[in-house]
Amino acid sequence: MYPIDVAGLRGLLARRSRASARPVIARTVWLLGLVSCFTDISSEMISSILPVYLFVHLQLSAVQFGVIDGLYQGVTAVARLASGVVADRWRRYKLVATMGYVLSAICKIGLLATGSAWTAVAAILSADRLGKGIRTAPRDALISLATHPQDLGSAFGVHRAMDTVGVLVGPLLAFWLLTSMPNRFDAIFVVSFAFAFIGIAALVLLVDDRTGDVARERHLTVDLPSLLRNRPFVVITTVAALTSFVVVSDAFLYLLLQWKRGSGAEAIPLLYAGTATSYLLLAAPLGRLADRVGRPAVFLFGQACMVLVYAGVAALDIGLWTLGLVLLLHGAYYAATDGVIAALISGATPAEVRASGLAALNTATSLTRLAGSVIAGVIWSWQGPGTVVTIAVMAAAATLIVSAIVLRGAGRSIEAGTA
Amino acid sequence: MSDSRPSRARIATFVVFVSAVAVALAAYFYVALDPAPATSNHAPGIVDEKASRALVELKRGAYVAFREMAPGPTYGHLAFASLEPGAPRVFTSLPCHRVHFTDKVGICLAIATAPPGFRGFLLDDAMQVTQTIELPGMPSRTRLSRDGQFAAYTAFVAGDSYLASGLSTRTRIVRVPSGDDVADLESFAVVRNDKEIHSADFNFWGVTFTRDPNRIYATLGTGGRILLVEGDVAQRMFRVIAEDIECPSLSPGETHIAFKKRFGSGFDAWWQPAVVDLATMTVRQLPESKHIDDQIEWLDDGHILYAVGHSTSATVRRADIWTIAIDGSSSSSIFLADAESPAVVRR
Repeated sequence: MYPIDVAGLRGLLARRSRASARPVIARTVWLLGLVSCFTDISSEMISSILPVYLFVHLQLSAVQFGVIDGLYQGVTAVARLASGVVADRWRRYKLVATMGYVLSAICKIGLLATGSAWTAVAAILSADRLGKGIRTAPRDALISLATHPQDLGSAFGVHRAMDTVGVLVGPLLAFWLLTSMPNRFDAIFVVSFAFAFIGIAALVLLVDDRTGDVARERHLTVDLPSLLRNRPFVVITTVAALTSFVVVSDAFLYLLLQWKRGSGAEAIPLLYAGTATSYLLLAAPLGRLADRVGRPAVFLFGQACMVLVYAGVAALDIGLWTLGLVLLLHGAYYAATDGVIAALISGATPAEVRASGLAALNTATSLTRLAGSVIAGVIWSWQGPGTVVTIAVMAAAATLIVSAIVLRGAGRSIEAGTA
Repeated sequence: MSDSRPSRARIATFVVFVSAVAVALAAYFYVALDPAPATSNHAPGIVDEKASRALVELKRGAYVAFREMAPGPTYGHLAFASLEPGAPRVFTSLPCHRVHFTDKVGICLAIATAPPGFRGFLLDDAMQVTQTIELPGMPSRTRLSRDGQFAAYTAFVAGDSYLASGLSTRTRIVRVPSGDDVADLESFAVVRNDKEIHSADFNFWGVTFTRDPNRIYATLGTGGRILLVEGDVAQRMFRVIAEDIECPSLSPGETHIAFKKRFGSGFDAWWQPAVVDLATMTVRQLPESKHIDDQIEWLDDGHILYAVGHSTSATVRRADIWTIAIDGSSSSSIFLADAESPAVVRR
């Protein structure tokens, strides 16, 4: 597979003894991790109880639910791209990210006010997702610009781990509130808003807006075509998009697991929690490993985990232990790819177009994930879940091989910034 | 790579903001919310002594089990009342979303329980929870067979984003009181006009049992169409017997099926109660235009009960149980205010 940097591996095992007192994880990264943690508690509180709210409480029809679900799941691609370009052009990453966070926070209060009109609920939830689309790329740009190029993998790993704490806590908190106060969804919306507000306060008051070497001139032209001429950027984005296409969504994997387990009804929230726990524990170590032995190698390891996940679903009897193994590998896939891809993109794009590059990556992967879901769904409907699993194993393995060849072909250039 | 420490003033401001949020939250919970009822979802006993005595009294005659919907500490809980108008209600401490009862056993589908998840509780004659069933999704419909040997439940699973609607159903039949799986309706063969049909988009919901618990009616949704199916549980087989009859409910005398009739389409669809005569398969529209969601229940062979929701917002949802004669001779009236999910237990 991909050549592993043996010296780097040795360096990882040895104690770090660099002369510089520069911390690997900048304060900005810790603080943005905190912001994301609070924000994810807020947003996961909503998304975990959303089906209950829409379907059971508001009693929307399946068609209305489908429209809202579709809007909620995607359709923020344009906003992502635009926010990245705007952030680069203004050189105001924190400002643009804050706008996204604030929009999402306002929507929590909006939910409180809309009542049962489903079109209003749909509009509010779309705006909420729009806020998420806006904030992601400039936030990742802030992380990358506050971090030494050698440590990007570690920085994104730490950020994603803190983010995932919120993913775990949010649903627990929401269900606890729902249990204590049946049908008082206002309690959930208000608490969700409170966490969003604390996240924004931390961002505005504590996070440093200065972004190192990037000049603070306003209204610079952002040379977007340069991104398309940037071969490492194109290669990494293509590989990431291909991976998202094959891996599809978490929900889809959980459906396959449920199908495989037959009538044994597994609570889906527990499956999410299993993946998130594995991701949480592995994100920082694998990010660090990526900085030492090479990010493409760790990324390919992540893809290999996904091949094993699907192979496990295909070949194993899914009992308690095998289920745990599959979820561990699923979390490892995220830990080895999500932050590592952001680090690879950051290493491959000049600071002037960093947010644009990260936004383009987000847009590409979310579009291919959507396309993959649709196609997997069609196959499921026509041929059944067994065929879906077989195709998924082969597609994931093929993607692994193609990625290994392409990343190797792109050579050292994509390793720019790695030790 | 500048990474300066935030100033003390900024840190202090942040702390003030966080404290203010905490105080505001506490104030909101104090002012806006009723004190949370001190209940446990897993306590085997769900009735206190007084309620227990009242239940014994209630069970001498016919009564209705339902979900209490009046705001207050018992909101959302399983409750009982006799069929007399204005009868006092007997409350339990068990939060339920859907309930059904026979004279011996009961089932309650709950939305949020600890640990997080959707669960069904099987109850015995003494109102003890005898078995807990993990539901694969949001509670939707439930019915017990008349002899109390079997329970059927439908759960809605969200997240099947590969489906156009984003929702699919899981309907299972379990043995009572063990909770053991008897059948998953998805595993049934479906025959239409003597030909077996199948499609991966089959969704089943809304089971109603006949006197013979092996014979059931249910809804099959496929390709945007709604079919009424009649089936044999032991043989795992359904026969399609009609179209556009959704969420059937068989009358006590087994002569009629009350169902939800769809009006409009797409985003603007709504459902109204209707009745079909099984001898002639003629559908009678009832003089009732209110929208209904849950499966219909029979008060007696001439009258049906159904819940109608109102005042829905983020903070509350109210509902009343209405009744109407199936001969269409009179308009509907409220049978039980501030209640939903009725289950009539006859003597």
